[in-house]
Amino acid sequence: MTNTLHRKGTPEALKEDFVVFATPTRSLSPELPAKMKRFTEIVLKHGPVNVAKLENMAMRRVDSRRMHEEMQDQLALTATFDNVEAVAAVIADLKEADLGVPINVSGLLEEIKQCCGKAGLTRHSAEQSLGVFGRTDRLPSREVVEINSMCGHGMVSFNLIKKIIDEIKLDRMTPEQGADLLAKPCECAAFNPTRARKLLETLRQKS
Amino acid sequence: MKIDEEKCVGCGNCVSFCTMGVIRIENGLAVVNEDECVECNTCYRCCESEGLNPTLVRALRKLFAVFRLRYDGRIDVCPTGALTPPELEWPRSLRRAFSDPTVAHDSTGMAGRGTEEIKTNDITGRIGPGEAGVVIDLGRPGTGVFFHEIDRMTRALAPLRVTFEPENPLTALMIDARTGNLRDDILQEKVLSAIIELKVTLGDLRDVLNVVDDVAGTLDTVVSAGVSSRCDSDGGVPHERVCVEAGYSLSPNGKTNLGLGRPVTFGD
Repeated sequence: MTNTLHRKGTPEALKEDFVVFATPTRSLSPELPAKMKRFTEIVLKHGPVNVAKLENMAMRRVDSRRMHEEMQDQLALTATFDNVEAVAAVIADLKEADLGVPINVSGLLEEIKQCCGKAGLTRHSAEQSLGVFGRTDRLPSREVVEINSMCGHGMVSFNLIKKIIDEIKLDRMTPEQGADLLAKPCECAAFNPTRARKLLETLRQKS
Repeated sequence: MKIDEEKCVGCGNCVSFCTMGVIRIENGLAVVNEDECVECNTCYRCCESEGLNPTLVRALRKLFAVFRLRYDGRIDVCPTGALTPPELEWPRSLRRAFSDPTVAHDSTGMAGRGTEEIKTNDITGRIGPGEAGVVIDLGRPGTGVFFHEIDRMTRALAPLRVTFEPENPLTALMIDARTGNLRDDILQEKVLSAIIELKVTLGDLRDVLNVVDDVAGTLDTVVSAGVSSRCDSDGGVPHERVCVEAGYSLSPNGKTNLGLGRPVTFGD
């Protein structure tokens, strides 16, 4: 499943970075497909910027340009959002739907706590990153690590990020095209293309 | 990853996608450092084959070079389909299981890094009141790790009063969870990252974090660590005080289990 614990970023960037995911493995029952279908409807209704579907017991990213077409008759596992209002609405709808399936949200803990409060929920458990230990001298620049950390499984390589930054600085690619390409290796769809585009835009302006 | 040298035209697209940075262009062909490749298949998945004839592509490239023309093609393609994921045998197959999130672990049937963390805590109660969950992600971000380095960490943690998560794929590779020793036959295998997952009492959490910090300083890779706990009745997070008092800073972001799950009962 997703590994969204160690997402790096400035406080401003993290305000636009939330991942909602269901973990149905402990909720196996004949009703589970219908419950996951409802989960899918709810997350799609609130405008995610990235979605992963269940395929052969693994996650597969859906092409964001054809999200609604590709999600016909498919079950979503992960949905990434770029605003807390949408996440608050998703949490409220999920509470009302009462699916019984474990749901987690990655993002600013205080913001999510407030969303829970508005929906009448008390959060059950919380998990935080303690940061990176060991050979941190082997890591590239803060911006590259920030983009890399948006893929839970580390599939967006440092080299790809550096190449795309170079291509954008040389005007061979737009930040939007660059963000779309960077989202491609991340099969769990935890990658946030909105954040990536804004960061790439900032880097272009700096150059 | 295998690269067919008869087909490869040395475009270098796969070099960019390689999560470990271990594909290079040598004499006009892409070459993989097999010792360092973690078999994540990212290059294969992201560089779809265009199915072009290698001879034609090489001829065009030479022609362009003669006229000093630059061709900015797509970077997420393999023009000739030269990349092929190989059939892997044990123990090399572990590389793919731990590095390719589209493949499920044999031990748990789960894809990805295979961790439970707090994701289902509302159903399982795995992390209870007075306890902390700890995840130690070796090799992340973007650096990779050999199992002999993971073994060093698990053996250092085992003497502390920790319980390794039984349904974690790394625990399944331990000879004995009481000693933390991993199987000898896997120690030279490398993966993109692997997560040690354990629980401990909040009273013993500081000792565990200190060991993680100390051992990480002896490894040739990076280690991302995280901590979790079950919230108080008012939604407070019990591990925060322990971590801060021990001198560790916590991220403002993280995972929240909303508490919407419930155990499946007959007829549910």
